[in-house]
Amino acid sequence: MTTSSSGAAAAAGAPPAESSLADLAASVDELVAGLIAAHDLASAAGPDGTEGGVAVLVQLERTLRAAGVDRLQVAEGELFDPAFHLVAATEVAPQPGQDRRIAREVRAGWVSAHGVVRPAEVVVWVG
Amino acid sequence: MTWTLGVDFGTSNTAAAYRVDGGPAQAVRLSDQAEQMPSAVLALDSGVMVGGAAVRSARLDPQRFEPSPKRRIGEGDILLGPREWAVTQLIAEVLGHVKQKAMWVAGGQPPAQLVLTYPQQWARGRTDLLRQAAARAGFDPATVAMVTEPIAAATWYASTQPVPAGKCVAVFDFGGGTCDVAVLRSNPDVPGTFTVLAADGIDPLGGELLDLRLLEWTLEQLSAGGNRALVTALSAPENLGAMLTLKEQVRHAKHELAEYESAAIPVAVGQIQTVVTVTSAEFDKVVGGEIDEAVALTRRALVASGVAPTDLHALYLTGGSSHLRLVHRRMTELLGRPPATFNDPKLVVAQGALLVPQSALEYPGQAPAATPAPAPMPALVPGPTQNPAPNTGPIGGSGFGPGRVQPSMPTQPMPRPADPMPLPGGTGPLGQYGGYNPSGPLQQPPTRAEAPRGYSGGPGSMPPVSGAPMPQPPGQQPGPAQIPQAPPPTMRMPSAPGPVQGGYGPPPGPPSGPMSGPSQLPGQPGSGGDGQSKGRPTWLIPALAAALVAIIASVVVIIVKNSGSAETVTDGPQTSVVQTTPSVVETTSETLTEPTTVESTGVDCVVNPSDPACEPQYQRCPDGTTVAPDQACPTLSTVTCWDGAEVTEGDPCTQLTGQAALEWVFPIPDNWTRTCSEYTEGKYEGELEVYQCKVEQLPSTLIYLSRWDSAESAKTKFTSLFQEPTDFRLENDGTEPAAYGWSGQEDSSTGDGSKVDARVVAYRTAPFSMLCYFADPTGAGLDSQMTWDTDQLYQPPDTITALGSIPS
Repeated sequence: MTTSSSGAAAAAGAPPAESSLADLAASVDELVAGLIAAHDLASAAGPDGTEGGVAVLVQLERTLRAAGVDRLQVAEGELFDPAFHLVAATEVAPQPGQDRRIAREVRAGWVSAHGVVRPAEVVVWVG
Repeated sequence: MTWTLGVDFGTSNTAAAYRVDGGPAQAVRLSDQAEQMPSAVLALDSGVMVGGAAVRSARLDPQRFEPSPKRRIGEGDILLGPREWAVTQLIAEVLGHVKQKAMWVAGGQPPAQLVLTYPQQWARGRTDLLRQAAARAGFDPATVAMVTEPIAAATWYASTQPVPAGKCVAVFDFGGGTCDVAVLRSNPDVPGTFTVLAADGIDPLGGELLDLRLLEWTLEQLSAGGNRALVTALSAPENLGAMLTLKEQVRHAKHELAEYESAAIPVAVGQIQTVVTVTSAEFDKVVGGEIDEAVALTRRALVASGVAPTDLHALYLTGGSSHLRLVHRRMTELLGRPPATFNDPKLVVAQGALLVPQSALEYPGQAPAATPAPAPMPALVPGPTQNPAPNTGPIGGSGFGPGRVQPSMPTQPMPRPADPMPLPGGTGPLGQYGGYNPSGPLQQPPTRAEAPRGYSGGPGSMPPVSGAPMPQPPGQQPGPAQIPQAPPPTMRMPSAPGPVQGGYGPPPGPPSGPMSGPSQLPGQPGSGGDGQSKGRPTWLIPALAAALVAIIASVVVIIVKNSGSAETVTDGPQTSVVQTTPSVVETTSETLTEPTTVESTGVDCVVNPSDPACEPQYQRCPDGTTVAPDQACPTLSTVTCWDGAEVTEGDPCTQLTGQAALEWVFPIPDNWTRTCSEYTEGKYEGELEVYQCKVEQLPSTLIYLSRWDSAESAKTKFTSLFQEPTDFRLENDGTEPAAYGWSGQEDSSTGDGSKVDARVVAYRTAPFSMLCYFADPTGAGLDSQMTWDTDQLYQPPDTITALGSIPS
């Protein structure tokens, strides 16, 4: 991935004003949040996203990745980790030894270099 | 270099700010998603988890979870899970986490001074407990100063907009969970300091409650618009993600309505997609009751302070919910001129605490700041030292308020406790973060970790958050119990370092969680970031905007393509999607009469539709479930309503109103005889219908069955009359309250010193309550009370949802 700069201030070699940077960061956050919301809607349109348009999901994830926001990978049976997961619901574990392991993902989680943008919302086995 | 730390330990969230060598007060970023962190704790055998990590784990150990340790500060030890914990220790864990985070950004040394804020209503005992908690967290007690929250907030405002000496200001903080109002006077003899003339608050009243109202309205619109099947599907466990997404969309719509005349709420579940549009006028109607409460609160605070609205130098509106246009209109009406507004209020209490002159701070051994003209305050924190607030004296006259008839005998009108205070305390019906309840879509969304609280307000532009690379805290490594699971070896690590939120999180370093792949980013800490908010590069704006346009275009293309006959959308050679029914944006329940087949294979089914791989693998049914292609969808059954009518499952019954409906909500055994009549002596605020009942088999007992304008109104009223409720009945796994219970004892109006026992039950989500009075509590009334705990006392909430069509 290559990087580039844009804007008159950058072109002139001058750092943008503090407030401009803050506004810019807020706008980026809004865009990222909007892309994640679009991903949620597309995912809600089908249990695995297929009905919502898998192409859209792929494109959304690609765009978010380009912005430095990666999707958290969640696997069934993985141990619940509060640093990256949020328990949306619990279910009785089907077998012994599966307590506090993830049954399934309810909504995707996202992480950037600055930390967790949104934890993955999961159903966790208990018992 | 010396630095000071300000901490706003809030009911829901905690914020912190630091100041180096008298420089600007800057925020300490306490979590990944926000400057704030939840004040919640989760008491585990291995230690106390705090903040976002505690909230995210709460559903696993709900008995060990305490979302608001601040509310319980007066209780000494509290039971969390199998053991008791000192509240000061729980608070110390939160403060310790803040201390650790602050030392990372401020150089690794303890602060020269800690300024803690506290509610205006707190007495000396509670401030001492907060000091003890700070000491347990490792702060030097001699360096701990305190100041009240409204003074800290007002000091912040005065630093941005000077207040003339002797002038009065009011701060209206309408946040996510609470609404607080304070009236303060700028001290003429000590510039820069304030005296609180009056302070008041309502908890809960805030954005979360407004979100709930708008969600309920949205679901009603869906049902009324022929999308009842969609509403039913949203409540299905397999569609939990769709429900969570809808709740977020509702919240976004609320924010949009602060600027636009209407907002769209997209809803997607399986094959169904639709959009509900809410106008500003509709929204104002939906939340009008809550806004009225907030305005009335402001009016009461002004009256208590003795300051006329027109005499205020300024009224500051703060908090996320204060942006609503209806709030501005109502406040303008109250003041006769527009109020002043601030953008982000979450940090101003912590920041303002650092700007309070030393002479106005309280140090160990000093009494809390005196309030010259204190208004009567509702108790914020119920504790063993606090008495519940029912009216304990005989009441003459009639009506539910003061003067309502106080009967002495069951044959006379029985007492209903009078209003002891204009404002109730108590907690709200809002579920905790991560809430999911399969009983219905009306369950409250989880409390977001970023929900603001407390007495705060904010400037138009916040001081920049330090985005510079954080120094490694010397000697600040968490113990083994606080190190999260290492990622599986197959998972790739992120390329950039960054702190992870939560008390259980690791020290600053690479997020140790699973990721789909690393990204080389400009602006990462340690890689030339801009040092501002998040260090994102400027080129991302046009790039993301272009990407968003492309995605929207692709969605439109897909919709247009799918609006005709069966189409295939491919993404590379590996995936294809075949839909045998058209995709729709606006749809009705009729769309669901045929199941939808979906396939995901490596075969292009448009080119080779007869390929066996194109056979459907499962089908989606009208009720939102999926079954194998050779299985029949479950047929929608009928249910019997409370009034005997039969409707299709998912469709609403006739609204629950009237005596018969209330008798259905609160049934009695078949062999009992109950006689009810409408009670016309008066109603509590929010009470729509009241029936006074007697049961032949329950001597010395009177029962009042009530329908309210909302479940919250009932809870608020009875909490104000008695005390914090207990969970009367639990549903599902026994962790969620289905109903609340209150109890109390009152003097009989006979004047002979005899007592009347009162028992109340009210639903958590349905607007009904039952108030029982048991006279002769040691005689005949005792037997009647024994029936109180019967499981047949009232209908389960989910039954009401299914059969009773809860009125909005």
